[in-house]
Amino acid sequence: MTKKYFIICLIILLFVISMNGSVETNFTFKYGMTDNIYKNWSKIEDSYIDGNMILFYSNKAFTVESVLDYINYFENTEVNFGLLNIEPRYIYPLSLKSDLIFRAGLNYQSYYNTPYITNGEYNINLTYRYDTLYSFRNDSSIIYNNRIFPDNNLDYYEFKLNNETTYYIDIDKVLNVNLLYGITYWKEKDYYINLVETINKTPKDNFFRIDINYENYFSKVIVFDLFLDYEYQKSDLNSVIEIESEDIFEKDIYSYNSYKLGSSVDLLFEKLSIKLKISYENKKYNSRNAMDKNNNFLSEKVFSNIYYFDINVEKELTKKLDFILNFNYEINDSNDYYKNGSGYDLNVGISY
Amino acid sequence: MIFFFTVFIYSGIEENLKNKIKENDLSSDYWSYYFKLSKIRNISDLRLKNLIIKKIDYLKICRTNLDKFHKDYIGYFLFFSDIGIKKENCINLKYKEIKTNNLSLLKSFLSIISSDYNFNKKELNIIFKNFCIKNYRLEDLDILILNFRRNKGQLKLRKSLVKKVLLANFSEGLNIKFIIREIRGFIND
Repeated sequence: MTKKYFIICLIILLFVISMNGSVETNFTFKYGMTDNIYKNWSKIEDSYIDGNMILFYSNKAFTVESVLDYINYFENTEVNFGLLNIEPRYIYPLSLKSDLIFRAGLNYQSYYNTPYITNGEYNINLTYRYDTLYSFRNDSSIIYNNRIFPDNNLDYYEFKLNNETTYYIDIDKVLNVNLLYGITYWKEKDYYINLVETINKTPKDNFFRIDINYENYFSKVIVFDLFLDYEYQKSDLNSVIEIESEDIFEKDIYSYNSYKLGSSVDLLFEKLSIKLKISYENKKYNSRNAMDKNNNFLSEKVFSNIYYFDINVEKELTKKLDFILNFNYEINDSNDYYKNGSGYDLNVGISY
Repeated sequence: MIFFFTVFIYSGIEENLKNKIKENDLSSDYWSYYFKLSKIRNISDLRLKNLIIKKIDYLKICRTNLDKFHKDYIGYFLFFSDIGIKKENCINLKYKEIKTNNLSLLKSFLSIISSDYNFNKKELNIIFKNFCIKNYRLEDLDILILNFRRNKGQLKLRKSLVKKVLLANFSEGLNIKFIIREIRGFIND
C-alpha cells in the first residue's frame, strides 16, 4: 500500500529534475554512536551510519525540495529505516504585501526489518502571508496531514492551524512568535478502558503550542538566541504496555504539558562555525502515575526535568566539502523509573 | 648551470618588479601571492611583468580617486582586482567610509557570493557598483555575512534564488534590512 507513495514520490522527483530549472544537491554521510536516553528501562548502546541526500529544484514558477535518508544501526536493526520525502511549493502573489503559499508533501518511511511500522504520509499546507516589507511579517497556515501504517492500526490524520509572526526590531534583532493548535484523530480501534476491557472508539489528541524566540546578531562572529516554549496536549489515548513481561494499563498516555527554556550561541568564523545550545524542560503527564522499579504505581503523576546540551561544529575543508561533528547529552530526571536516566549521541561526518 | 642562470634571471625580474612597486609607494605583503603563484604555475616572466604593471595601474587609479586611500588597504584593492572588479567601479568606494574593518567586510561578502553563490565577474561588478553608489553602509554587511554563515547549508541549496534576489534588490537600492529578511525567508520557503 505505502509502496505507492514511494513510487509516486520517485516519479514526481524524476519528472521535476528533468524540467528546465536549477537543481542543487547536498550529500551528508555520518558515523555515530548513541546511548539510549531511558537508561533504567533498557540501556541501548549502539553505533550507526546515516546517509542523507537533499535535492532542491527551483524555476520561475515553483520550488521542490526532496530528502532521501538512510539510517543503519549495527545492533538494533529493527529501527533501521529509509526515507523519501518530496515537497513542492508554489507562491501566488495576491498584492504587493500579501501572498498565498501552497505546499504539499509526500513521505515514505520504510522500516525494512520491522514492516509493521513502515508508513506513508501526505500533507497539504496553505499559507496566507502578510508582509509590510519592512519590519513585520505574518504567516497564517492551515495544514492537513494523513499518515498511514498499512500493517498496523496507528493511522491518524491531523488538522492544524499555525500562526507565525516575525518582528524585525532592528537589523540585528529579531523576535519570532509561533502559535500552533491542532487535532489528531487516530484510526478507529479497540480502545482500552482498563487492563482487560475494550470498546470501539476513535481516540483523539488536542494540542496547543507557543514558541517565542529572540535572536540577536552581535558584531563580527556571534549570534545569540533565546527561546521559550510551552506545549499542552490533551489525549484520550489509553494503552496497555508490557514492561518486563507484565501488562500495565496507562490512561491518557499522551496528555501532558511542558515548559522549555533555552538558548544557543553561534560562533561564525570564516571557515569554521560552532553552535552551542542548552535547554531545560519541565514536562508533566496529567494522568499517568509514576512507577517504581518493581512496577508498582506510585501516587504521584509522572514528571520529568530534562536538561539538554548540544554542540555542533562545521569546518570547511574545501569550497564544497565540510567536516561536521554533533554531540548532544540529555539528562532526564524523572520520578518514573522507566523515564529516568541520561544518554548521548555523537556523530562525525562529511557534507558535500 | 642553466638552472642557476634561470634562477638568477628570475630573481632579477622579481627584484625589478618589487622595486617598481616600491618606487610607486605601493608596497604590501599581498604582492608575494603573485610571485609565489607565478613560480607554482610556471607563469612566464612577460606575463608576470604585465600582470604586476596592470595591478600597479589599478592601484594608482584607485589612489588618485580615493581621498582616504592608505597603504594598509592595498591588499584589499588587489583582491577586488583579482576577482574582476573593474577599476571604474572600484573608485566608487569614494562614496563610502573606508577603513580596514569595512574593507574586510566587503572582501568577505564578495568572497561568499563569488564562491558559494557562483556570481560571475559581471554580476560581482553589478553588486559592487550598486552597493557603492546607493544608500548602503559597509558596516551593514556584517549582519548579512552572519546570516550567510549561519544558514550556509540551506541557502547554498537555494543559491539561484539567493543570487536573483541579491542582484535585483541591490540594483533597486532596497534597504539592507529588507534584503536580509528576503534571504532569511528562503530558509523556510
